[in-house]
Amino acid sequence: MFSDRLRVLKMIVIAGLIVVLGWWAHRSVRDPVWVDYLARPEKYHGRTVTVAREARIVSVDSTRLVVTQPEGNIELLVPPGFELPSLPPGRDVSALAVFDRDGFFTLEAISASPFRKWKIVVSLLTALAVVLFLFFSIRVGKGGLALKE
Amino acid sequence: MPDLATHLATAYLAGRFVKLRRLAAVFYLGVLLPDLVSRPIHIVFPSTFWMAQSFHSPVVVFLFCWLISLFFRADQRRPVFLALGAGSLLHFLFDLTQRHLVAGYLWFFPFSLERYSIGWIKPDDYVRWLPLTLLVTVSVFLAGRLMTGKGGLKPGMERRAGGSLPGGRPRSEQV
Repeated sequence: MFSDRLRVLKMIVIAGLIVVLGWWAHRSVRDPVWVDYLARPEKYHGRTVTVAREARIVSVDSTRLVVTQPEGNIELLVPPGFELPSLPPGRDVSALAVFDRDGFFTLEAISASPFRKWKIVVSLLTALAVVLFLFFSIRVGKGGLALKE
Repeated sequence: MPDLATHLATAYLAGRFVKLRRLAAVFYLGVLLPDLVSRPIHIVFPSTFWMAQSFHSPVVVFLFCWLISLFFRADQRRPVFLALGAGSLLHFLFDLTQRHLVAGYLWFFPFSLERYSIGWIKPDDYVRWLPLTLLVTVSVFLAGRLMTGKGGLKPGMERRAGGSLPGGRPRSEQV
């Protein structure tokens, strides 16, 4: 597993396997998204759609919420009595909405991510710090990388 | 996911219980690895969500650990692989605690596409608690330095401050 025997071939095969698994997941695993619901309204009537993965609020009021998605902007109706938290435009949210065959989505649940930008900045700085630590902990030598004593 | 600073803090605290020594850097790389190989893809190409999710799974991260270890010298590959794997496992265990609005992570990809999560803590809460996490981590670091005597003056420096020669001999010994 770790010997020098066929080392380069092992590296190529592992890298290839990673690419194949990622590609397979990308091609074969696909939840229907809201545009699929609109394309086949009878099939998806009453089903819950996930409006997640860091959707950004475009506009919001007490009756409707518009958020961005990779396929375009989606409008979610806020049902009467739904307690919508204070969410300014630009805020990242995840949401669940129920689809109606008439072509509208009604908000069912929502979760805000007010610290997402901070999370990205802090994570980038941390990654940079670890890369620097690695740079000072590893040297290039005969037979590959080597940890410094 | 919790932010990477929180992941790194858990790695540092966990690393206090084992003697990482020169493996510390690769252990810290391991604890960031599942996010490093998946999040940038998702952020740059949002439509590749499932590819990114598959890279954030134990089997694929195991392959990444193996691949990275093969770049090292033959005698260091196994310890590097184990350090990367231990770090990655710590990352996955910490991610398991998260509460998502929808599902969790692909723990058994490619054998199963079911997603799992215990659902205790909202991801944003980790950022909210980050100052406290860092305070605890820095406190543990400083306490460790003081207990091992690395935080204060070295014995030679103390003597020098009291009037010794650069070589460490007291002035009275000067010929």
